[in-house]
Amino acid sequence: MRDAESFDEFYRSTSARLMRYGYAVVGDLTEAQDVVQEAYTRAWQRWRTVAAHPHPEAWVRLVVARLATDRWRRLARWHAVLTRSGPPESVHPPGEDTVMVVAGLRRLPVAQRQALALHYLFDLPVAEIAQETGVAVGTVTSWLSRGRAGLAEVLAGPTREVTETRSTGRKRTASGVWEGNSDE
Amino acid sequence: MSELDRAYHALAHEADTVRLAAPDTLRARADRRTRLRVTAVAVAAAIAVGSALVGTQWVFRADGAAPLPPGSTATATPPPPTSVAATSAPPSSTPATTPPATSADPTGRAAPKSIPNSAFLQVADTNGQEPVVDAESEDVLPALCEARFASDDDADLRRTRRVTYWKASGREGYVPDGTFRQTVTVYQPDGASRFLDEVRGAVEACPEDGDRQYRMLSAPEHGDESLTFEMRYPTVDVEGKATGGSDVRIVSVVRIGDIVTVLYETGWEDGWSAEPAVVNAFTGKAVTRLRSWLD
Repeated sequence: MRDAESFDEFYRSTSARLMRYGYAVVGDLTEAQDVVQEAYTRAWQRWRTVAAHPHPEAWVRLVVARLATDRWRRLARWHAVLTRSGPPESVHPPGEDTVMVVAGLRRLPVAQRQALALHYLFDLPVAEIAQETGVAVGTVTSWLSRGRAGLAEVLAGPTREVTETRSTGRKRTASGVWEGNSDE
Repeated sequence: MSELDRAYHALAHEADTVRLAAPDTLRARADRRTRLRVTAVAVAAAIAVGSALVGTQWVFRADGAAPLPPGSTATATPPPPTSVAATSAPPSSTPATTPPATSADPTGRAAPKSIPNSAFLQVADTNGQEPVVDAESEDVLPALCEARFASDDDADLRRTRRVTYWKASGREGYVPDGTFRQTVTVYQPDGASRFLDEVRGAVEACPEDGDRQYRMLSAPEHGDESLTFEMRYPTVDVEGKATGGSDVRIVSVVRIGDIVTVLYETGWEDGWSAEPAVVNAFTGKAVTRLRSWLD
């Protein structure tokens, strides 16, 4: 299969999953859209390398996570460029469940969001999450445990938590990305 | 289903409402970025005299005659990379089939007035369909420890174009194998052979330049005289960090009389190197094009 065709097929078959992952890690739909598209752009720039990778989707996930971690290196204008060709269609307010989980995730560092997303969205075993995040299995177990506890706390009292989050000064950047990205 | 499962399910549902760009849009974006990257390599280190010559495009003959009119590229500002992907072959500012326009110098030797597109590699040589474009602002050679070449004073005409190539034919839809920055320079008598001597000396005097390493290579001879050298530098990953491997770029220089063509292989995808046999094959094609122009 030609490179362009194989990339397009890869993109079509994985981008929805990666968009979910991006949203869970980045925490803002528009930012997640930018990050995911940027990750695929980088994938095409080194498509021979990525296509030969044992797990190309994991390669793109890693780029998404790194871009989420290091927002300064993101191409902030990317969205403006792509708006002409593919504006996001999500204009409705997020559902209550989403509001809750987003509020909870907001409290976690990116690495923990990454581990939780890999667990809940991709069903990856702890060993694979450890491999993808580059930390020990014990660390992932700890992240998942703390992440679950943190989210459970929020989900138990969403109204109080959202108010608390706002009042503690955790604020969104101008572009809507979460603060609190200090990975462990 | 746990509460967290439900929460992630809701989050995924919302993410599904976002429409992502079409894959060809992303590929076009990535290709434009790659073109910019291969264009930007060490532009600041361009050979000083060569750049000035190209910048003015007005060339005074050694016999003191009136300056020659701008060469064929005088108005051919390199198109912005964004236009390359969207257009087919750019209009040629010089008929590609005309023999070299000449003017007699005091010795009666005919010297070209301009360097036409036909003196360069053509799209038909590239095994693909990517247009060959002018690239006057790009370096003729790698920096080579900021080498300067006295023979540039003898350069009457110089023109650079960028060629995107595939190793074999029928590769439409595949990632390019690399790019060449091809420069053709017309020298005054003896300037061309002096240039080759100076390049050889610059490579041998510069085995290392920061994280770049240079060395001469053995390669088949072309034209009246030729040389080949390589530049090796660390491969970087998507984050710009060294992977531990190295990429190799190859430069091939051929002289035919007072004319020199330089093929500087500038790559495409990080992590992939120029191959000596491929560069040699394209050097042969470049020599054929040059001879066709001169004949």
